[in-house]
Amino acid sequence: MPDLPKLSIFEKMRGIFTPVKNVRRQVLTEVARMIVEGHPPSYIETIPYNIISKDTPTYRESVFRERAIVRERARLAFGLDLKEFGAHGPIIDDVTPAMTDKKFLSRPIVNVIKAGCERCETDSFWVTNNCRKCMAHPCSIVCPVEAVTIGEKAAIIDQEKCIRCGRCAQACPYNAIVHRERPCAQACGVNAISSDENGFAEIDYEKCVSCGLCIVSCPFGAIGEKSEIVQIIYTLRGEKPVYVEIAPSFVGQFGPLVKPSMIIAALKQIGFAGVVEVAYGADVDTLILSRELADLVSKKTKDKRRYIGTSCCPAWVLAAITNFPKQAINISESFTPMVEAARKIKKMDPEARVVFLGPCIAKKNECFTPEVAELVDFVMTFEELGALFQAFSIDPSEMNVEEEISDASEVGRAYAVAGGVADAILAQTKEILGKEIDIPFTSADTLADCMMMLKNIQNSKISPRPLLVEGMACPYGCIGGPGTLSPLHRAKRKVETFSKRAKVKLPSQHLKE
Amino acid sequence: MRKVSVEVCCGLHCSLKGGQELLDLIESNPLFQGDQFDFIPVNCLQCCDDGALSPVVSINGENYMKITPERLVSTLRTFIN
Ligand code: FES
Repeated sequence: MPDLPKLSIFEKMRGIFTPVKNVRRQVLTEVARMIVEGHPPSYIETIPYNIISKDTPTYRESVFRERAIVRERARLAFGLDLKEFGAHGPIIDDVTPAMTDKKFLSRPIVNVIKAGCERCETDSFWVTNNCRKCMAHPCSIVCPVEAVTIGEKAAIIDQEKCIRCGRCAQACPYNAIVHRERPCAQACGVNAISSDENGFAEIDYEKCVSCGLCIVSCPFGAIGEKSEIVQIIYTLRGEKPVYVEIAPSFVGQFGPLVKPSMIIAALKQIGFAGVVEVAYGADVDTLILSRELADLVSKKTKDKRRYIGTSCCPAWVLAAITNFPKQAINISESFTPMVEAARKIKKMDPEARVVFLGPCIAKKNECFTPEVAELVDFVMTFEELGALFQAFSIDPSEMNVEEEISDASEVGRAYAVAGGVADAILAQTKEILGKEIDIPFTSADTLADCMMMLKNIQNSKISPRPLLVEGMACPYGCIGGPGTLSPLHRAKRKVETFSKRAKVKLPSQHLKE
Repeated sequence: MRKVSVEVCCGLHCSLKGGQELLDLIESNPLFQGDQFDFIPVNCLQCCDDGALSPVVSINGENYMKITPERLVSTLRTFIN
C-alpha cells in the first residue's frame, strides 16, 4: 500500500472541487442574479432549467430528479422551508414574502433534501468482491451471532442478525468486509442523524447544533442550509447603511490573487458602508476570558467554575449545553466575537444594519438568541458572498487595493485556526498576571472530539486538570467551516501571515477598559 | 527544452468553479514535478462568459474552457517529453 495518510470524513472532499459544490454554488448565484437583475418571483421556476439544462441526466438517473433537487435548493437559497416531500404544487407559491429586507429566516437551518438523499446504509458491515470464499473463512468462525455464512460465491452477512461488532471485518485476511456508515452521520459529532422509516437521512433537531458539517460531507449534496442572500441584497438597496463584519478566516477565501484589502474593497463596491474585523470582537472576548482565567489561576475569585471554557464557537457551546450540562457551566458567559464586533458597529452608527460574513452556519442559528438578534441582522458565508459578487459583477481579484484594515491584534486574527483561541487567552492571561506561568489547558476540534474531551474532563481523565478548555466544532477550526471556499492548507497559511501583519500583539495593547 | 506555461485562472468566476483546486491538483501531481511546467495563477482571462465557461486554464496561450481535472491532467500529459 502506498503510504498515504488516512483522511477523516471532513478531509476527504475538502480541497477538491466536486459537482456537488458546483450545483450548490450555481443555485446561489442564479438566485442572487435573479434578485440583482430584478426578475419577478415567477423567475424562480426557470432556475432548475438554467442549471440542469441538458436533456439527459448528468449525476442521477433522470433530469427530473436533478431539477427537483435544484428546486429545493433554490427554496433554501431564499430562506424558505423545503416543500414537504411528495407534496404537490409549484415552487414559487410562497416565494414573494421572502423578497424583503426584513429578517425572514426560520429554523431549521440545516435540512435534508429528500429528493437528493440516496438512503445510504447506516452503520453496517458488507462483504465486497474482495472476498475469495477462502478455506479458512475466519469471518463466519469469529461471528458471535451466526450472522455470517459462506454462500456459493462469497461470504454473506445476514443484516438482521448482525450486531455490528466488526469482528468479521477485523479477521478477514483480504480486507473484504467493509464498514459502511453514511457520510452525513459520520460527520455529525452530536449523533443527530438517523434514518426515517424509508431510510432517508433524518435530523433530530433536539440534538442538531447547526454546525453544517453534514452538508459538506454528503457526497450527493442531499443536505442544504437556508440562506439570507435575498434579504441581504434587498437590505443593501435600502435606506439604512449596511455594515459587514468579517470573520478572521476571510483571508485568502477568494483565491491566491486576492489580498485581504481587495476583499474589503469589493465588499464596499457591492454596497456595504463599512467593514469591521470580527477579530476585534475576538480581542474583546480574549480580554474577558483572560481576566476570568487570571482570577481562576490566582484563586482570587468565588467563581465556582473549575475551568474556563471558550465561548466563541456557538455550535460547540450548544453541543456542550445539550450533552454535558454539568460541564457547560464552565463555559464563559461572554458573547461571541460576532456580537462584540456588532456592538462596535452600532456604536459607530446606531442606524447600521449588520451582516456577519464568515465560514459558519451555526451563526445563522445563533442569531435567534434575542440579544444577538438585536445586534446582527443577517449571516452570510464566504460561499454565499461569492454568489453576490457574481451577481453584482464585482471581481475582488480586479480591485485596486485600498488601505489595510486594522481593527484587531495578532492573537485575535489567529482565532480562525484551531488552538488559536487558547493561545490568545493564554498569552493575554500571562500578560495580566505579569508572569510566565504554566497554565494547563486542553483543546479539541470537531464536535465528536469536543464531546470526547468533555467526557474525559468529567471523568477526570485529563491531567493535569485543565484550567482553560477550547472547543471548536469545525475541523482545524473556523478555516474548516462549511461556508469556506479555500482549501484548508492555503487558508491556514494566509491566516497566519495576516495575523503577523497586525499592529499589536495582544488585545490589551489596543483596547481600553 | 521549451517550458510549458500553464496559467490557471483564479478570477472570481473560475475560483468559484474550482480554479484554486485545479492549481493544487496539478501542482501536487507527481507527473508534473520538475521544471518543465510553470503553473501560474492569473486574473480573469476574459473568456469565461461570467462563469458559464469556467474554469479556464490557458496552456502555452491556448485557452481551455470548462476544463475538468481529468481533462487537464490528460492534456498536460501530452506535453511531457
Ligand atoms: S474568471 Fe476565469 S476566465 Fe474569467
